[in-house]
Amino acid sequence: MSSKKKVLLKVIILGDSGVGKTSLMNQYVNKKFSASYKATIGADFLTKEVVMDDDRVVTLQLWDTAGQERFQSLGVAFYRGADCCVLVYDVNNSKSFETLESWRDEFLVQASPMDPESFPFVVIGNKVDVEESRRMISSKRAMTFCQSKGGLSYFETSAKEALNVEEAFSAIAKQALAQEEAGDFNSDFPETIPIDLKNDRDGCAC
Amino acid sequence: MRTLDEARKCWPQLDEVTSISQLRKAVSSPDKPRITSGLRSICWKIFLLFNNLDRTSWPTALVDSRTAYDSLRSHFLRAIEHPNEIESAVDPLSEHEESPWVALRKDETLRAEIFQDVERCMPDNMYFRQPSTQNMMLDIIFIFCKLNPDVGYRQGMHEVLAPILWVVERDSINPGSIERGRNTGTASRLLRDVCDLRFMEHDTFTLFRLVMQNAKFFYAPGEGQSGFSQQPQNDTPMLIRSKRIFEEYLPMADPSLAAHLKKVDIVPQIFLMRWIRLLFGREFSFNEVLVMWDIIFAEDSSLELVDFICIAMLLRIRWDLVEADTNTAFTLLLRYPEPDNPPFTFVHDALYLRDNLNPQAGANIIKKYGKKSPPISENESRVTNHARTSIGASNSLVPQPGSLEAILQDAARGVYNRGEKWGIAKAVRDAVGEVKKNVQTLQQSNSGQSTPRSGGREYRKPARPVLKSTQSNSEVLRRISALETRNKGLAKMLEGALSELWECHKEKSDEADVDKASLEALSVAIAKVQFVQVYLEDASIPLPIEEDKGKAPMRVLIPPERTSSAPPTSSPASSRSAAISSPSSKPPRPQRSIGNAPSSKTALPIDIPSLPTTLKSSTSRITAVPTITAPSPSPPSPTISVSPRVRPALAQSAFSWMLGQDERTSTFASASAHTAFPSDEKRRMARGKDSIGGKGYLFGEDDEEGSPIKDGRAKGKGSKAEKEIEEEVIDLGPLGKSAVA
Ligand SMILES: Nc1nc2c(ncn2[C@@H]2O[C@H](COP(=O)(O)OP(=O)(O)OP(=O)(O)O)[C@@H](O)[C@H]2O)c(=O)[nH]1
Ligand SMILES: [Mg+2]
Repeated sequence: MSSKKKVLLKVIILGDSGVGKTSLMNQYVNKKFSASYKATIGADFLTKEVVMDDDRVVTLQLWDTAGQERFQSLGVAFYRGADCCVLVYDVNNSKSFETLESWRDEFLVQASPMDPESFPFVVIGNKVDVEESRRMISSKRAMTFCQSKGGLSYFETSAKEALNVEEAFSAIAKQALAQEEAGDFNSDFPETIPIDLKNDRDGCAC
Repeated sequence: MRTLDEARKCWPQLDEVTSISQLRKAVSSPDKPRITSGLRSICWKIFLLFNNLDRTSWPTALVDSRTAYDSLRSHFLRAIEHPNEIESAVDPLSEHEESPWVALRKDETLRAEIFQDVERCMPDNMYFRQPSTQNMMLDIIFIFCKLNPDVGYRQGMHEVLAPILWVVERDSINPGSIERGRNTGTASRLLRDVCDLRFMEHDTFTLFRLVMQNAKFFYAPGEGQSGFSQQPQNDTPMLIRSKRIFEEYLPMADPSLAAHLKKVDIVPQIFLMRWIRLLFGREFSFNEVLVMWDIIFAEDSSLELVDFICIAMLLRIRWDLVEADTNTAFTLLLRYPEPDNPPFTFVHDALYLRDNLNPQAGANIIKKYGKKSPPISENESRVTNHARTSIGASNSLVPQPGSLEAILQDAARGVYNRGEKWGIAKAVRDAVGEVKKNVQTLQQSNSGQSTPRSGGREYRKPARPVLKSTQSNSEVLRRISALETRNKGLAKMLEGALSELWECHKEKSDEADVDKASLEALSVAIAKVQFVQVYLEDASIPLPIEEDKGKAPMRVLIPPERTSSAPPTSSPASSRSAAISSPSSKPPRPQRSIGNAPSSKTALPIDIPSLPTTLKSSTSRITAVPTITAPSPSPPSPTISVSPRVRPALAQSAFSWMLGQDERTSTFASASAHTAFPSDEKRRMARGKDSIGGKGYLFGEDDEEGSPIKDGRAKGKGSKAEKEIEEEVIDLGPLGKSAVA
């Protein structure tokens, strides 16, 4: 399935309202933080060209969603074809951490990737710049969660101070590209259920 | 806030207006100075609350609404403002359902959620940064949510509220600042009362509530939805509306734009959700939005107009959009380019489109702003030829208009899925896109045949059958299911053949020196066969028009241009040219060949009568016409056979002549398009997934067996057909009304 054509990677950013999804995306794409982002209504998107390690240029299509929106309001079509899903929470807000699991589960239902087990999620704990005393979720607790979900990548960031944002998104780009190349995310022909999917993937990865 | 003297300067403008419709005109007028510039909140109150210009009635309306708000406020905010009044006997830590503490905590969570957005609302406007403003907004939204628990708080409501609050605040007058003994005339008293600063919050709430009365459906969850859930859920009204705008209205106004956006996988709700929920609040500058709202409230406080404003916005940038790939298109739609003309012109365009939703009107709107008109009629012959060469027997492939989308969606999805499986997705996708484009342009060119006044409008209108009653349902359903079984069998047989063809195609495409053109031709040819298979597989898809070859045709709906004029033996071309001149002179002879169409295997004969009967008695010329035209060369009998989805509009039916000539036809068609809204909405909601099933196939929407979404669809064709039939009965009301009008 290797092709020379332009690669477009679709990334969906989810998480409770106010955790800083819009701020993170703007920090990554526009290199700035503004204290005056309005609440996201529905969804919004930005694109960014990224040069990968092998000098390949890919286009990241980053979809920011409204934290309050539940899935049905954007419609199934929105989630289909995603190559990576970013789950953001606010380290100073335990509820936003506790809902991560349902964001993940619901995403899997809506996007229905071929192999949910291996679908790449990246977890981001945002707002680490806020004073330590207000922190509710420790790195350890977050990492335990990521382990329990099959070893999801985890980053702690500050959109405000541009801390670790670049790193998080380059990991996102990498995982999205790997997912795209594995090519097993395709619900367009559901009749085919590749039993030997795992082997296939290994075979393809060369 | 302003002084009474300032306010009084604007008042005389209102004295000149003698009727609501005059005021509406004045508000909509692009001429400056605008009447709303000094009287905006008063105009909004007139259009939304008072609904009249009888000033003596205003104080009562104000007192009523203000008193109502006072009691709502004290009722809902009591616990919040005075938590210590909650009976001390109740344990604050109790988790018991009825505990007032539990309720209080829930309310506090809700308020925190609201406040998070209020804090981020209008970040550049100092007025909205003040805590008193933010608290007022919080209280208003909170009370609204308590009154509307079915919707609750949804992000965006705060940005509907903010402009209202701003407008009311700007106009408000502090009665304390008025010197005693001055300005005690009736007009001054009324002005002071209408704009009383002390009731700013009350009046803002009232206007917000009145706007949200209709706008709340932009926010409402689908039926049976609540929070996170693994259950398949119904589409939200917003999804349904987006689909309607994108798949029904836009193709009427600009079929090729609609086809292009679909082709590049634009999911409409992604941008329409924000456009509509905020009433365009984020798409244009704040002051421009206020002018838009002036006209919206003046012209259509039901807010149905927003759909057409969206169409107008799409048309304004159509040339950019048709060139755009997915990324560029989404960027244009999510960051709408600043228009050269002030945004209120979109509302004017919308008013025009609401009454003229057809490709010609779409082209007019595009031309109006100095852009090239999209090809409609001037390309007719070229487009037709092109279409004919690439889709072969185009005559039989011209689908029945109203159902074009359904056919293409289903067929193309089938083709695409299969193609993907054999690794030739790209070729097939292109081929399908090509077929689709051709059909669309063909259709567009067809529309060019009708006079500008009828503008081809009625021909995109989903056809609606006229059913007498639901008595015959069981018989009908029995026949459907028998036919479906048979068709499915045939479809299976074809499927086998098709997979061989695709294999063959794949082999060919793998060849090194493959001839792209012939490969594409092959794709298209296979796709066509696949269309047939899809038709067979799903009997609810209407069949394409069979050109009358003098033999008993497949009895499917025939568009009015043809039924009205062409002699049975005429070639398609001559029938087309005849259609231009003759409909007025030779109304078709209504003829019910119902239930005697032996070859109409997939069609469903149903009796027509009840609506026409009433029309007959009320319109004298109706009885006269058939007698006069009886001797004329008998046109192909306009047979109406009704499959569950083929719904001939009166305009398209044998009874179209009842509507008089083209002008009336078009009024009818457009009138029914929006008078039917409320029932439309309900019906669509009832249909749930069914109605949206085909969406976004290229995007990769659901199609898998056993997917939770599919379950609803699998409930059996019988009940589906039944639902559809009921729909038609509901629809008769508006249909009949507008036809008579
Ligand atoms: N201190 C701090 N504040 C942040 C950071 N990121 C975002 N914020 C603030 O958190 C609030 C919410 O940020 P947004 O980016 O709008 O949040 P969101 O997740 O997009 O919210 P929704 O659009 O409602 O889903 C804003 O006031 C931001 O200024 C961060 O890294 N540190
Ligand atoms: Mg956001």
